[in-house]
Amino acid sequence: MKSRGYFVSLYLAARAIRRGNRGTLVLTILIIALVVVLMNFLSMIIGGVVYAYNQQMITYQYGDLTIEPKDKKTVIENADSLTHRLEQVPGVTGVSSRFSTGVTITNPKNGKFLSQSLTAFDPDDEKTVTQYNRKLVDGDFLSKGDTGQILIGVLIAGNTDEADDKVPSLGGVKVGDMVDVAYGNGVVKTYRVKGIFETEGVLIDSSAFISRKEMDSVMGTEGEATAVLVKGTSSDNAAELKNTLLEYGVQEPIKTWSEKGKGILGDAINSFQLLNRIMTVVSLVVASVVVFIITFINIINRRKQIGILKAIGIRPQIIVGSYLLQVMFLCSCGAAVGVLMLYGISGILTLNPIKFPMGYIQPIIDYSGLAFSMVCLYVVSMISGYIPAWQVAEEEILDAMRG
Amino acid sequence: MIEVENLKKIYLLGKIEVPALRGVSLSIQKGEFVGIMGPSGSGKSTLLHLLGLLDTPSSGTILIGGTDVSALHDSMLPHEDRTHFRLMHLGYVFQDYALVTDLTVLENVAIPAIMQGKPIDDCYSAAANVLKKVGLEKRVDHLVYELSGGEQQRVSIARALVNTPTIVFADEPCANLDTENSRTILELFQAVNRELGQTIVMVSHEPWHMEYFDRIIFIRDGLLDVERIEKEGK
Repeated sequence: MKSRGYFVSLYLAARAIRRGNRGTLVLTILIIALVVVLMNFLSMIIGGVVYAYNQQMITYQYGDLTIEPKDKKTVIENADSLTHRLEQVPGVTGVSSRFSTGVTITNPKNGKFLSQSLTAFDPDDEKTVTQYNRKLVDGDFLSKGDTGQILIGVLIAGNTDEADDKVPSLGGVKVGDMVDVAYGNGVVKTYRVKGIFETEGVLIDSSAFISRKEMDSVMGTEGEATAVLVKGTSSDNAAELKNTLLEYGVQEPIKTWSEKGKGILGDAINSFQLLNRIMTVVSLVVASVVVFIITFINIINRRKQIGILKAIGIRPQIIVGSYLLQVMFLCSCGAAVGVLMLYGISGILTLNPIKFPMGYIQPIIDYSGLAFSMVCLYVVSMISGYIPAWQVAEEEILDAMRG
Repeated sequence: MIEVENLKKIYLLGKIEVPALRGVSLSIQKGEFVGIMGPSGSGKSTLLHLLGLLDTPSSGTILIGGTDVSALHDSMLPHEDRTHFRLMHLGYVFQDYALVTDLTVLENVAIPAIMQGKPIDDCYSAAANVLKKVGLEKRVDHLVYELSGGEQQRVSIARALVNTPTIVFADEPCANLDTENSRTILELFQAVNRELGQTIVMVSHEPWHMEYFDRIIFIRDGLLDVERIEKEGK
């Protein structure tokens, strides 16, 4: 009888859905679909932001691993030998030794100046780790023996009209223009802008680079580095590569790209995720209220029918079961439509990416989050459907039959 | 078949007790077509609802086929409770047809049989047979609101008969029908009673229905109208 009870629940639910009001059905499915979208949209954008940020860190700022000076040291003293050793480690595909120092860059044409970090690298080594050489919008990448030449980001170069600048700039520097660089040791040198790059990331496009040879000649930094960037076969395996380097006896602190990047965007992501959680809770409340109202109205309209079913010998549990199956059907359809809508939105935003400070963002669907939101939606919907169904199904037969 | 002893039903309207039945005792034999008649508010529908386990008495006992059904309640084991008893032994025909609007004519008739656990094909075939008996074999796939009142009441009768219940209870089944349709329904009940030997207990307030009943129980003010039963009760 129990399995027949399930069958009768299904029998009644299927016919109620098939012969019920189509408009209400479609509207309910649409509302649940929009709830699914609402619950997942922000996390989809956050996913895209995190991915874009991570990619930029790996591709331009830190490589897969960054080796830093030991505690209380400002530089890695034996950087050349470390670089050489690192190149021999299996799994390492590129190593670039960098030296960064604070400078003031001035555009002599208009007197605009910027105080910021200037980084030096061996251009050939750098190509094995980062991709600045592929992001030039004008001019050329640095060469190994370059002196008197500087590579700058598009945001430093800026525009003649200050209103067009997103951040303070040199006011419209072009390839071939000369800029003055004042070092911390008092040396002031004039450099020709050899190339301008654009990665779409605000932090990255505000950088400036010279060759290692040039930096060494000005600052006397031969064999020293403020950081050594390491690239492996896959950024996903950065932690494994870190362990390998430790096994190979690297004494300096090694940080993976994710360890390096935590601080900068971490707080923003945490705030985003808090907002996302709030939105998820609000969406779930909306979903439960919608399902409750729909089931309640549906059941109130069918009180008499429920009374009839009870009168002819159908148990309240079976009647409640039929309503829960209807709720499950609505949820499943709503969830399916919601997922399709999410894919649609994702597709549209992939074709027309949203611009963020770290560049253009392509949304990424978080499948574990999506699955969790579905489970939550089902649970709240079932509870919201169960309560009114049980209330009416437990009524006295004659009271229910009076409608 | 049915033995009723000192049956009472008191409704509560707020804090006021309103007695609907004030101690009814009666018996109905197997195969009888019994009419319950009386003026409005006399308690005839209340009596039918109590006999049909749609409501619970305030006191008194009802024995159906030897089972004390007044002691049954829904918190008992699923196979011993009132719902199960209704499903297995009783059939109902209501004044307003009481059909399920989401189901077709055939499905409405088949649903009590399906609930009994019979194979689906057998249920549909039994439903189709009963619908043929009530003259609705061409309307099986219609939804109930596509039928006339008389047709809907015949569907309701078919549903009451599909499980071949021991007793069929009918609560003013002709109240919403014209004379011609009423006559059709009453003749149908009479035929079922004669041919299948089913016990039928029907509430009515129309004097001309009396000719169809084997016996009439008159009720007045919540008590049996003994004087009228002796005079007109056959």
